[in-house]
Amino acid sequence: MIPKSTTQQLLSLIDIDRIIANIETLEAFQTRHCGWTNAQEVADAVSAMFTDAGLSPIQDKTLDYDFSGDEATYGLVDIIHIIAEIKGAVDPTKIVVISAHHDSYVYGADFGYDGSYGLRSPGADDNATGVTVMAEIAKCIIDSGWRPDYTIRFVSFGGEEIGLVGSGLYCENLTEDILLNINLDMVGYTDADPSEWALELHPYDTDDNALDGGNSYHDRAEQIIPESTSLSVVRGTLNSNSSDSYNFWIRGYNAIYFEETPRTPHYHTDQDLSINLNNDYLAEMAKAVFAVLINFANIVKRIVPMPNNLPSTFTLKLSTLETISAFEKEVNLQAGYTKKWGLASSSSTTYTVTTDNAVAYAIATLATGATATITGTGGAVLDGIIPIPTNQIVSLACYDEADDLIDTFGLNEGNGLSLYGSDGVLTGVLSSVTAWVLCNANRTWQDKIELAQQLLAFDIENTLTQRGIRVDEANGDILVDVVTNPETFRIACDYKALYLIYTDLSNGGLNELFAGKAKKYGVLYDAEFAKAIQRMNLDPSLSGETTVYRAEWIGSIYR
Amino acid sequence: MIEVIYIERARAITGESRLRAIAKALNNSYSILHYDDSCFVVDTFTHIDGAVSIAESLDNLYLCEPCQPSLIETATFSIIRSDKPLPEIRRQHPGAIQLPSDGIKFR
Repeated sequence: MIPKSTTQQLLSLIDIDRIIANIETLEAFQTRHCGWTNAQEVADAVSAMFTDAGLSPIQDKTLDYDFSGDEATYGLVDIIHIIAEIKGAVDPTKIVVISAHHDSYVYGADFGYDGSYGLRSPGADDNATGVTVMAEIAKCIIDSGWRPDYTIRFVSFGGEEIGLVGSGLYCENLTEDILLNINLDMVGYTDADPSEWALELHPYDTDDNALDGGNSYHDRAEQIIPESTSLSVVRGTLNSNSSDSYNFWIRGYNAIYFEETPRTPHYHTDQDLSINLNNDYLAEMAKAVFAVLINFANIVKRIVPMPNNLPSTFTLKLSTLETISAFEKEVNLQAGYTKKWGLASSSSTTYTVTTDNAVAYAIATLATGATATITGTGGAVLDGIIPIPTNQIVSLACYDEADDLIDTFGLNEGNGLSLYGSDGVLTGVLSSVTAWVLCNANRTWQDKIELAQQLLAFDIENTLTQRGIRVDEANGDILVDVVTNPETFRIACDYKALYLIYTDLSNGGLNELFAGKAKKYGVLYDAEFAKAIQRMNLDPSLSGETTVYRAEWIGSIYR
Repeated sequence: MIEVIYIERARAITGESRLRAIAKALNNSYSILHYDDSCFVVDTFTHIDGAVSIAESLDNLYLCEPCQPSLIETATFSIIRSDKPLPEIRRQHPGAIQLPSDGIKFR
């Protein structure tokens, strides 16, 4: 369980005035019935609340859904869900869905029902309270910079008041790993004395919610809520069909459902107004829901807070890894690549190769892959001319008169002048090869550097994604290809390159010395990457001072 | 046909004692439409010994909050029959919904 102090820190961010202002926005529609003409405007208003909270909502629309009855007054309705996520930092595939419906309803001619879905169902309590509490919780999480282990999906359902049709459509297509649905429906009314304030928590019987003895989500919520709020918990209706959580339950998902108790006397009337809510009670309700969410989605303080006010588009610049070149000399030395004997020319284009032992001929292979055969004279002496381009290094294969390969002489064979047979016996010495020179290997590791840059970019993208910043797929390559301010990730990239180089040199781990070095640089990379992420600051309002790292960007991201 | 199996009979049929275990055991033989801690509403081809039949089919049946008159009423729900479409039913029973025709899914 999350420590109480941690929970309280987050709960203190809840702003009841903001919740009330949003409720007033929604009740101002007069009606939010999905059969009324303003379904899209209502959806846009909820989307705006989610956006203000820092989310990037999408709208899931089922337009002209046939809800016909025998009377002409019923017919096609527009069901629009507003959906947004805060991605989990540990396992984003596991999802906690917090939901509330935004449509409203009024019944009976006594309340102005005019035979249509029209006026006078302000729905402040039912269920502007649930939707706005949900938006407020999202804002608190995002503003805090803290992140959940699991993805939190915020869903404002349309089409609840016509028989849970909207959530039914939504849940029909669910294939994801939904850990739990936390549903809010009417959370703002009480007429009780504050000392007797309570909420009704409806349980659902699922595998992880063993009502007769298990450590269920419901039972855990019953413990969490009194520790974090002034509310007691009343056990609600088992497997309630009164709200959208029912549609999660019948599909086998865990669910709990928050409701006020006692229920408002203004339920489904034209008096379901914000002035009839109890704001202090509503604030406690918001805390109760948030406290439960904190614990079930495991919202904790991360090392790196996600920046606020992210711009909609950005360009990240690829770092230029200059420092790795400083490592190359050391790497080559350790790998035996620093100096070696080789056939090379410094200026002329031909060299004479002479041996004084039983090398009948040799085949020289240039670095380009071209070959030249050098034949000896008198059988015992190899004496030929090899055309060697300037500064070209070649390898040499020597053969005896029976065309048997005596030995090869390649780039990295240190003593170079001696030839050995396959049995290890010295067969000859290239004693007068005028062109044998001591060469600097000058090997570069550009391929590993480029690979390190790619892997680093992947790591950055993954990290951003885990923190709730999703890269627009259309522009994803831009982010993958580039990294931020060179200074920010340069050292991490060097460590990654060294990790790759030594992994390569370790020959699949057989060379323990290099395998150990690879492991060391892998650890250093992880630590430096974490530091670099911390230094990375995507806030465009920063000045760009030397102590402030930021990204320039093109492409788009969203949360 | 739609039948109601009360909890004691359900325990006897399945040999299970815990609610969830009973539900999953019943689900092996019947399509469970709804349940609480007093009874299970199931869709079955043949009469279940000890169960109470409430309707021949799912047609025109709705799940709503406890009310009268109804085919069955428990502390948490009722099942009513009506020829009216759902929009009409919801005028009188705001929480009325259609029963899940393919039953509850168990994971």
